[in-house]
Amino acid sequence: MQKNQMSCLHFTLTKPLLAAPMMARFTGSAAAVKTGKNYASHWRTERIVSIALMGLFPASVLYSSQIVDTLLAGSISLHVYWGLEALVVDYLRVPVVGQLANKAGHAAITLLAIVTLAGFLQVIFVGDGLGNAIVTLWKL
Amino acid sequence: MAGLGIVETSAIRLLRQPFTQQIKQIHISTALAASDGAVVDKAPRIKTVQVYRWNPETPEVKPKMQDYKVDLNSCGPMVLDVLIKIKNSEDSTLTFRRSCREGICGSCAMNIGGVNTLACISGVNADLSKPLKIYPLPHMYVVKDLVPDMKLFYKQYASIEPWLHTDVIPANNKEHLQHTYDREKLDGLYECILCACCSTSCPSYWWNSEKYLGPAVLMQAYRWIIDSRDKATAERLDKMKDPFSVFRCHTIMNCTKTCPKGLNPGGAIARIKSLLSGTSNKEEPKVITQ
Repeated sequence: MQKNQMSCLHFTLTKPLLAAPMMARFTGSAAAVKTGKNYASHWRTERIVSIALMGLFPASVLYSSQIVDTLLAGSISLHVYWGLEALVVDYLRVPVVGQLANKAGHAAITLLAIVTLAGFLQVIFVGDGLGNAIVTLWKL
Repeated sequence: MAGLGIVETSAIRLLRQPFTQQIKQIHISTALAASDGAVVDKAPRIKTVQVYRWNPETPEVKPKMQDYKVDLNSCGPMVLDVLIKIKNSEDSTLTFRRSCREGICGSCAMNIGGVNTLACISGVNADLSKPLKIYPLPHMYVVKDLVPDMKLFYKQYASIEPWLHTDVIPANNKEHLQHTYDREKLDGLYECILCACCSTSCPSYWWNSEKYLGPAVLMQAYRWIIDSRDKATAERLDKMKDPFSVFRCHTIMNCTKTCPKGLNPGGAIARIKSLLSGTSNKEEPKVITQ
């Protein structure tokens, strides 16, 4: 009997998380507005690109080739895009600046990233390569 | 008694009194002696204290900074002592939260000289030329004067379900035992007093507090995620994989810098991110041999 009571008590004290109805009672808008999107893999890609950039810069100068240069150009463009996207999310929030300005911000940084990438590709395939461009800039 | 000197007379008077009275007498005389000395070698040290004031009953009046003059010689050393002194002797309408006066309750969290900290454990700068500026915690709704509205913060804390989730019946039917190795992982996490100094110092929390949980709540989430006795790790992590709950953290470490308890919420958030992205995994609980 004693043992039975104990286990009953145990079950009421520690409900499994998914079945807990307490959630709905406590969490209001804070949890409700979240999207179900999984951002973890996106975050990992961001980290990998950031770390790759550290190696790609010296690599493009030392072993300047179209492949390394293209990798560098792509990584920089992505890195810049994600960085500016964070700025738009933080500082062009819909409740503050409105839906239109928020959308315009996103469009502007997307355009900027595409133009940046196009410029880099121009230098790589029409000009004399990104690594050489960095060297030329340095000489100035 | 005519032949006795003043020392002997007071000694006899002291001996005739009941014990409690004697003690009181001794205390008063030492206190008097101490204060005599203070008056002799110290001129008043007047510190200007500027406090944020806003009264919800007069919403048409804009928030303002009110100046008070406090003599540091007749006041305790901490910012909370200054506030209590003002409330007691100058302006009883000044409103602030306080309770334990020793940095364990987290009630008196406020922005002092530009830094979020606890008024009870931060000393007043002795430099009298500089005013002491006190604001409520930044970017929080103000209830009155230095009292911020903590509703959302507590709601977010509740949303991480800060209690043990398990369907394991403990062997002795009473308590869930934990190996000391696993217990050590909770050090630096469980000490948090939820004063909200870190969350309100975080720009990401300022801009996105509706969706981003903030460092204090995330550190408590991590405290339950890595608890070896907790079996809901996957569900807990699954609830925060969206772009806002955790990933709005840009690792600027304001939280760790400001924490009045010297904890590291920034580190805890980084470990949540690493668990979420699969770069690390929760260790299996160590077996307890008795």
